[in-house]
Amino acid sequence: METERILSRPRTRRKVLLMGRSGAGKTSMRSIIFANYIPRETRRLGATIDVEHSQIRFLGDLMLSLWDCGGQDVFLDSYLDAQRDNIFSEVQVLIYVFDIMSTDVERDVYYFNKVIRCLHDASADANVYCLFHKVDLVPEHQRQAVFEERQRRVKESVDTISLKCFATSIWDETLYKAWSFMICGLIPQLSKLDDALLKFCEISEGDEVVLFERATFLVISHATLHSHSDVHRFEKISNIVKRFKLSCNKNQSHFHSLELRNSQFLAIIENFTSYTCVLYVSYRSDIQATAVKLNIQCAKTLFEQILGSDMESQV
Amino acid sequence: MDRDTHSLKATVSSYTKYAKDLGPYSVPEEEKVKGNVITESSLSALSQSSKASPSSTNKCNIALGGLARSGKTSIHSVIFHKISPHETLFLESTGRIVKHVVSHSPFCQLELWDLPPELLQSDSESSPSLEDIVSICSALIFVLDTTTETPDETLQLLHQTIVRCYNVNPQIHMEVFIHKTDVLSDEQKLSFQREIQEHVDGELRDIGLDRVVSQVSYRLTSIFDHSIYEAFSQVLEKLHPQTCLLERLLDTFVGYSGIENAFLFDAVSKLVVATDSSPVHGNDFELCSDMIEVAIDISGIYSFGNPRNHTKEDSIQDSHPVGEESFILDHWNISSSCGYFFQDSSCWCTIRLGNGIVLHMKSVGHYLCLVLMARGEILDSNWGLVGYNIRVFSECLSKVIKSTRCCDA
Ligand SMILES: Nc1nc2c(ncn2[C@@H]2O[C@H](COP(=O)(O)OP(=O)(O)OP(=O)(O)O)[C@@H](O)[C@H]2O)c(=O)[nH]1
Ligand SMILES: Nc1nc2c(ncn2[C@@H]2O[C@H](COP(=O)(O)OP(=O)(O)O)[C@@H](O)[C@H]2O)c(=O)[nH]1
Ligand SMILES: [Mg+2]
Ligand SMILES: [Mg+2]
Repeated sequence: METERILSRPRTRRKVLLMGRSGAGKTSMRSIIFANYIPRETRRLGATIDVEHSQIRFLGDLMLSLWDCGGQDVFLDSYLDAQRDNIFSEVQVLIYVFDIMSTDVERDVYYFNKVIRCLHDASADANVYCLFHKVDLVPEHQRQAVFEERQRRVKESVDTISLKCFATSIWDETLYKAWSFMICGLIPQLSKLDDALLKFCEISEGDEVVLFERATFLVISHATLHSHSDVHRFEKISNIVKRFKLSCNKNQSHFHSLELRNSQFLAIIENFTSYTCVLYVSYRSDIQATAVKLNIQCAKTLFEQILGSDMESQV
Repeated sequence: MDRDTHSLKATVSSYTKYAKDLGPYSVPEEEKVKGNVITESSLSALSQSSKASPSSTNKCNIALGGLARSGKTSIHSVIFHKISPHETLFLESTGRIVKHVVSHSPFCQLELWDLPPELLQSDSESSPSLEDIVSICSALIFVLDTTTETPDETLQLLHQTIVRCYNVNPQIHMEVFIHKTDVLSDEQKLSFQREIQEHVDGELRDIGLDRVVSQVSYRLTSIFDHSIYEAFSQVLEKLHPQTCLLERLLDTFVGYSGIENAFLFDAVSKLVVATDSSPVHGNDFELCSDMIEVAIDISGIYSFGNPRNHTKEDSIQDSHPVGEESFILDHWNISSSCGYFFQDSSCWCTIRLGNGIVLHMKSVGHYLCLVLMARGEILDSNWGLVGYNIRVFSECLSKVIKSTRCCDA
């Protein structure tokens, strides 16, 4: 099973820079999303020295080259100067992390500005995302206001480029929301996936079908036939299932599938293609779980094809 | 257990009827069922015995004491109010006695007294006094902060509190929660516990209170992992007169259904009410309780999504906290979404793991749910039987609950 995955080499490489001042939480985030840390374990992380590179295979065909850039001033100064070409060339995504509790906003913005300027010179097309991190430390009723205020200051300082901002915390689903959004933008087959998923949802008489990347449990795509009042539900499910997966790992096992039913709905989570999991939800009480599972099996080949198709088209 | 052919026949036919309703499950052949179905009569003997014990009353008073910022309010907020551990950062210090009334399942009817630190000081003149409260409590949980900067003062207070509690209520269970252990390594935890226990035991013996030594239990806890749930479950199991009976019910259930472990959870708090007596491996406990959480969370999202059915979220109303003179009374109500979830007795969840183990959860009414662990191949050929046995189990459980209610009245 594993050999098959290794044989098909990923063709799409993406360079992702993770920057921000020391202690902002960069290494914590990536450890939770990509290295199966639980939030509590991030307390043991030490400051990152210089740049830590990691190669992350995502959905089989996409290779993320993640540069976690240690944020102490000496390192930042060096990125902006001596290492400038190496760091900022051929960047597709810059993720800039601010500690929302920071007391030195002035200096945060100063560095951010310099980084943006270097990025603009070397990789003008890169997407820039700003994460205002550790929102859990702000009392809930103030969160929105603090976030907007910080966002305004950062945006004012670089009015030439468009920024997408998120308020995040390692303690809840906001982390998954931000990362799902940022990573999804890199998937070339996204619109094809969306279409296929919608079709699958209709054929299998589901009300909602969601596709997750299997290792990170980031949301890739979803098909929704009825509007649902909870707009944060996908990242919540990412967070819920990922936590449970880690709990299984602790028990020397791994999560395989879930089936949940009450008088209102049926939900099934199963491994889908080699790199994805699928969540199927139906509100109909006459839907048979076995039939749904059979449908999921049948759809597999099609989705494997879509996820692998980018490879052929680029050859 | 009697297995005469007559009763077997009756159960097989009713079981087959049930299996048909289950739909997706395969219907096993009749011979697999032989001798495996729990008969009403085999369990009724057990539920009878509970009627015999008139002392079975469900309401438990538990006092929570300790120094300021030791984590008392955090503990019950995390377990019973479902706030996330990291949110306890915002808790303000508790200036008065607060009584929290917890009424979940019939086995989780508690009155928790969150005591302000001053009350434990010997010169405290507040009314009600520590003695007043402890005299009605079946347990006192002393929360001891391992990160404290004043360990001597803490130990001194612990010793003094134990003696005072024992003097007014010699029956009281004293539970020392050695708390915030998430900051310690495994060796540190054990040496901490050993040190504290030796110290307290020594002091108690010095003043001739040898018999109190066995009344004090020590548990390592943290709200950031599962340890707080295990510790609190153990306290509850100790206080409940029905624990033994429930354990026997579960043993019978497990034996007859070919499964490995069965846990009965108070679904809302995720505290374990009872387990069967076979050994529990490693983190199985935690896994089962995490499973309940997954089921609650996903149900919370999709139970109200159904466009064809307008179940209003606010159908369960919250009652307002009632203020009283000498202390604050906090009536906490089960939040609407998970409240709905556990009143829905048709709810079940199955999770399959890579190692062939299957977890199956079924709500059995009264805010209780049963979680089973079994090998997949065994469960998959016996779903109908297990389903039937779960039903018999829930009926017996209802009888136990009813009979204890009668005793209370
Ligand atoms: N409260 C809270 N703490 C966080 C959060 N994210 C990270 N932390 C904590 O912040 C501290 C620093 O995190 P790191 O990930 O090491 O910071 P970094 O940005 O990698 O720092 P450098 O490597 O020096 O650049 C750790 O102790 C984390 O536990 C969050 O969302 N909320
Ligand atoms: N590290 C850690 N901190 C905890 C734990 N339990 C509580 N705390 C923290 O201890 C502080 C005081 O808690 P609180 O419940 O108000 O203490 P109380 O005065 O005894 O009621 C809070 O900031 C909590 O976040 C724990 O298990 N581990
Ligand atoms: Mg780092
Ligand atoms: Mg308090």
